[in-house]
Amino acid sequence: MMLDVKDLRVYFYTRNGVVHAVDGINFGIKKGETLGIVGESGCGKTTTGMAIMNMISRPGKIAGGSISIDGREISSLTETAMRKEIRWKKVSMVFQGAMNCLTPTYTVGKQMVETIVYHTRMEEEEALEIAKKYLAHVGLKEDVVRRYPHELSGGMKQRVVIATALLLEPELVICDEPTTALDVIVQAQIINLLKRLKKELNLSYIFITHDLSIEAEVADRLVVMYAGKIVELGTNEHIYGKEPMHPYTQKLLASTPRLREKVDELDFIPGTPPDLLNPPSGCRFHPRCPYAFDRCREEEPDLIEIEEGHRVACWRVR
Amino acid sequence: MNWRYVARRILAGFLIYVLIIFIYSCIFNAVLEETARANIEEQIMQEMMGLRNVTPEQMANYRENRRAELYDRYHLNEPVFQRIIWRTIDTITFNYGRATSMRSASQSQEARDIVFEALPNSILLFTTDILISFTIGLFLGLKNAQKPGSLTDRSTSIGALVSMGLPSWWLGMVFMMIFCYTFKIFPTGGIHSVPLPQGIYYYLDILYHMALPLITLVVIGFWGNAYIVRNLAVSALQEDFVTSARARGLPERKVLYGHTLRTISPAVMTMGVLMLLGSIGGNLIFEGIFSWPGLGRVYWVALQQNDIPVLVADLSITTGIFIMGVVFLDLIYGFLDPRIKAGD
Repeated sequence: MMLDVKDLRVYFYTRNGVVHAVDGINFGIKKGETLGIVGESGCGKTTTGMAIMNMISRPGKIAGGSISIDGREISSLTETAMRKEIRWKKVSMVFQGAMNCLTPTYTVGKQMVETIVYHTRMEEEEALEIAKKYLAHVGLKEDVVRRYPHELSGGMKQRVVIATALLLEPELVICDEPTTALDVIVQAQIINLLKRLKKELNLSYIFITHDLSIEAEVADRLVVMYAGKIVELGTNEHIYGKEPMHPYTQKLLASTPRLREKVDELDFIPGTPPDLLNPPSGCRFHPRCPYAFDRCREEEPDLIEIEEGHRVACWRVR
Repeated sequence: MNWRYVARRILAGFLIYVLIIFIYSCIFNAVLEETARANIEEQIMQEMMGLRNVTPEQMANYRENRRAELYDRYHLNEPVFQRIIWRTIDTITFNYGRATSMRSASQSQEARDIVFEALPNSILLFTTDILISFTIGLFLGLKNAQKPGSLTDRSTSIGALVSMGLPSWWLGMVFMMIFCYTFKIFPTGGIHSVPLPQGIYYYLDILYHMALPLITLVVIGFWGNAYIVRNLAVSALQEDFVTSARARGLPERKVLYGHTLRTISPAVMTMGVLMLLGSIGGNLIFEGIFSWPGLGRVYWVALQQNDIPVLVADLSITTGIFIMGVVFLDLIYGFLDPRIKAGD
């Protein structure tokens, strides 16, 4: 396993109490694999990504569990060591709303070169060549290095951000909603680009999105999260091929718009994700679950392997 | 940089300056002309004292002719609108005329000399003050922004509230009482000792005299700077590009003094320059308390002695400096933030 996350817990210690944003999740990623993380807003997807970068901001904290990259435990590393050795070298990230991720007062080249020079002690000219190489990789012209972010279109900025993520040839790239703010044409281009780069550079991705149709396109395996917990984990085939096992996943798929099929009314899940300050007892999904029975309200289901590589946390599948 | 924009901006600044001077000329025209007439009469009287062996008629004749001649030279016979235009031109070309009662340190009676003698003193004191309190404020503010709610952050906020409510001249008087009378460390005012020291001691003497006003200004000034910088930086640090720079593994030093500071620099720069301009142009009471011979004190004395030519000279110089400062700010915005496109 390239990345191994065991029993990860991220808590936010707010004035009103402790928010269990991520509560004991386990997953791993192999080299060259894409892991998709899906779920509603506020279910802990981004928090998981940020935890892997060890960038949980106050009042949040990694409260327990372990994250290891290539066998090296990182959750206990100091901030300085983290910045020097892990961030961008091993793991890089394409942030949610990548539009605002470029410093407006720096040229594209300057921010790329700065990153390379700091990590590798390379000469600036050499670093500039690398920056140009990766800009070419994502289909941008060399002269983009002299441009300021505000002079680029949304799609171009997104490409710059992706190129920046690849500069130091990391093993894992966390893509947090990389295409959400883009129109469908550019979205398709970016998805294809990410898939191509993965093949060329043998990257691993964590692909965080709430858009299941994109996930179907890119992910090898999927993690479905609900209220800070993993409710279902399986290969693309398990989730999309046949009927998924967890009622939440089923509902989530049913609420995705279909292209070739006219639906009278799109399905939706009644209610909202639970308040993580006071999560419901038992299974966290039971207040919104159409199949809930007594046991769901009382006991929390474990993530049980029901077939090779397919785990579900639901009492119904026992 | 777009040079046409630079030229246009400077020209616009100059035109605004001319307009303001024109307004000053309208306001002060009557008094200034009265002063000019009085000066002419005085000049004629002195000339007549030198005349020998003349009859009273010749005396009266001479006076009439001379007066007409001088009125003509100073355009006092023309219609009022033209007189105001002449007054404006004189003021713009630094011909402020003679002071009614004030003298410069070198005993010159020219209003121009009085003001230009005071200008460097004001610039010296307030530029040093802004440089010091600005630097302290910048570093303290950025440090506080990194840990909002920390002890230093909260004490800075309180310090800013207190120091902003505290008049600088009042603190000046308190400091003077402590450091000049109770403990005789600093001189009570002025810029030079008597007799004037020579060589290197001349400059050390100025520093010695500058110390207490400078300490007062810095003690009262840096809190506010820190508070403003802190607020600007706190919101900048929330931005995605800061998170992104941190994720790229860049050290905090680069994130803070590079990405963050660069982004808030237009606002920080505006704050610093405007503060400096405000101080140079009109710290009347503060300079008065410390008898600092700067522009503020010239205002003070000119107002007390009703010396309108000096007042107009002082006003036009401070106005000029202010406009220059604002034009300078306009021009550097383009450098500091590429999103502000010059000339479009």
